[in-house]
Amino acid sequence: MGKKSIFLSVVILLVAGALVCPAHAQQMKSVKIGVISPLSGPLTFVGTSMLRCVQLAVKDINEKGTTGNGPGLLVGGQRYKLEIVNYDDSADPAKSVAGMRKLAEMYSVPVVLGPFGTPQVWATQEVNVGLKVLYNGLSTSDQSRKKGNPLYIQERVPGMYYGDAMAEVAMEKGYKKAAVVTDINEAYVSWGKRFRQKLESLGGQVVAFESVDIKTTTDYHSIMTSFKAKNPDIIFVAMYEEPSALAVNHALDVGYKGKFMVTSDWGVKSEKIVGLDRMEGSIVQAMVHTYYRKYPDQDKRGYATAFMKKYVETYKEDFAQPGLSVYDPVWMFARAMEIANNVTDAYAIRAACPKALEEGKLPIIFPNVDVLKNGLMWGAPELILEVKGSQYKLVKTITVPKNILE
Amino acid sequence: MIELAQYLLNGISQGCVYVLLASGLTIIFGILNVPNFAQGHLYMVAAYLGFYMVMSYAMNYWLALVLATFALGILGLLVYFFVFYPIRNAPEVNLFVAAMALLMILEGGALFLFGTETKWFLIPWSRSVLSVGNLSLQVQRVIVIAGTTVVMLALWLFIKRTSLGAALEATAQHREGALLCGIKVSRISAMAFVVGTALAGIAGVLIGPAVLLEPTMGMGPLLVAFSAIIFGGLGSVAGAVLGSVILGVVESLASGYISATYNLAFVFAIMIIMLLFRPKGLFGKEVWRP
Repeated sequence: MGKKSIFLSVVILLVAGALVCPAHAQQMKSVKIGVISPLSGPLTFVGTSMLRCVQLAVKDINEKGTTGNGPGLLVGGQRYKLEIVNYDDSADPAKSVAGMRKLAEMYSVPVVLGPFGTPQVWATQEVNVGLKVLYNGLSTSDQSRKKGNPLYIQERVPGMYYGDAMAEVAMEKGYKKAAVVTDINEAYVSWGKRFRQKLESLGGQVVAFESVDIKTTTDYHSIMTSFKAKNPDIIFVAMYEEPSALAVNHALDVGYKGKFMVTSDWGVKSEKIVGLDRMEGSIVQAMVHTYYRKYPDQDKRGYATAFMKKYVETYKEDFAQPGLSVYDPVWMFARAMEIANNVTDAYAIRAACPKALEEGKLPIIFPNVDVLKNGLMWGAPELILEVKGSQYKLVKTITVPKNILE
Repeated sequence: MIELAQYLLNGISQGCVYVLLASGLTIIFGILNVPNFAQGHLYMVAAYLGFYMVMSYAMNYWLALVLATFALGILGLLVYFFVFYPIRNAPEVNLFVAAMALLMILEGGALFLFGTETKWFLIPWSRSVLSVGNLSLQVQRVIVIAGTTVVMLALWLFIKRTSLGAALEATAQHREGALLCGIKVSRISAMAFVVGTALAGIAGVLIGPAVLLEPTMGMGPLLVAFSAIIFGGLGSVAGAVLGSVILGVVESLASGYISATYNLAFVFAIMIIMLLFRPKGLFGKEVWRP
């Protein structure tokens, strides 16, 4: 073979190689995303779940890409892998703020997942705009997205909006007299009030309304005794999962024979604490994964079931519900970076978030399809279930209309 | 009337938990002048011990109750010898600080060992309810009432009918006098700690199946138990018992007739009223100050 032939062969081989794997030949850059969650203190279980859920999302994105076009993100012809930087705020608002500052100033993160809790979210809303950080803070308060923060994402419709549908179902089932007990957390009090307002507008009656501090209340017997004396058809319980179960148990302890209506915090643990056999005819307002966990064949998209299975297989224990809530925003932020063609500008990423969901290509658990101007991820339905024969029967699927939420 | 009777029943069952905690507190305070702020956390440790024995090792509940009580007694002995005995002659504030430090250590240790996820005890009668007419009570709470009655009877017999009990009482009444009578005060002090923490142990395992277990579960009952010993009179076991039952009932009535949000406010208000009109409490000793 002549020198010319060898030279030509080498050139052809090099060009062919570059054509076959152009992106892989490049070094992947990394873009840091922040996670602020309580990894110490009484909410460690929640915070650990949050971090793990982000880790699972990041792993999948780095391996397969956002829409199967991986690995990593493709932004401006450059591949990026996501890298997590986490901060333990111990569920202390002051530390949440310190965490936001550190992640922005030291690591230049454009997006953050967390913190968890309304006080923590409200505290960080004072600083994130100045720091140019887009974040999804976990707060069930309706007020959180009404503060006009242009870089805040609320990943779920506040529970209070389901109070209307819950009141309608109560009336449909003939449960016209209700007693309400909520946590003193503003989100739960609002939920209870919304339920009361709607029930009374439909001709029902709320015979008692109590708000308690679930952190210090361990005995609900006397509250339930006072409720029982007023003979309600149904007791509406709006609290975190385990206190809900305790309140239901204590109502049963004092001989209450009516039904219960519990909120979307109800889950596997509360089922085990109380026993579904003791709640025949009771109503549960649930997020979709609560239903799919028991009836995986109902999960037509398959993402929720696949995620829950993967989490348990990876970490050998169950997740805390708030952890699940941060999984979808990770995907949304990653896809938004690709659409915006930008991995650093929080405003550009935020502007691309609606499109990221609208496309419908992301393997997200809750099928939201839009991000409203006020930052609320919207579109995923929630469910109203009835306990029948220790199983759940689907009563209604609810999607709160956009115009109410804007 | 039925409603009132139910509140009284609820209050008595909750009061029994306070009885066990408060009796232990008052025995320790009476002998050592130490406000054992860690009593609530020792009760929490016992609840977790009971939980793991029953749920992880499938142990019989009653055996777990006995073993956890012994374990807490031993823990009490260790705490006495390693924490309070070395500083027994130090100013009182040192004892206060040591008690607070113990509280922090126990809480941190519990968070580390047991995690923050809420746990619950499931035993065969967890969901059983005893009903008599229109009155109902969870079977475990009936066991709490019965168990507390038996334990307090046994404690009374121990104090009034045994020489060790007499030595305990004598030391509580007058430490120096007890020394002069040849009573080994340091051993009696250690025994007081063992008895006090064992009572917390019994409380923890008795109430464990009726509540949710969290590392901070001891703080609420501790506050009420402290109020009960002040109400009943520092150093008086009878005062601790009566104070605990009264405050348990007040808490229940306030929850039922007024609001659960303010039930503890009523409990502390009762304590303050007692302090204003009878500072020594129901059965406490007069404190002479020059």
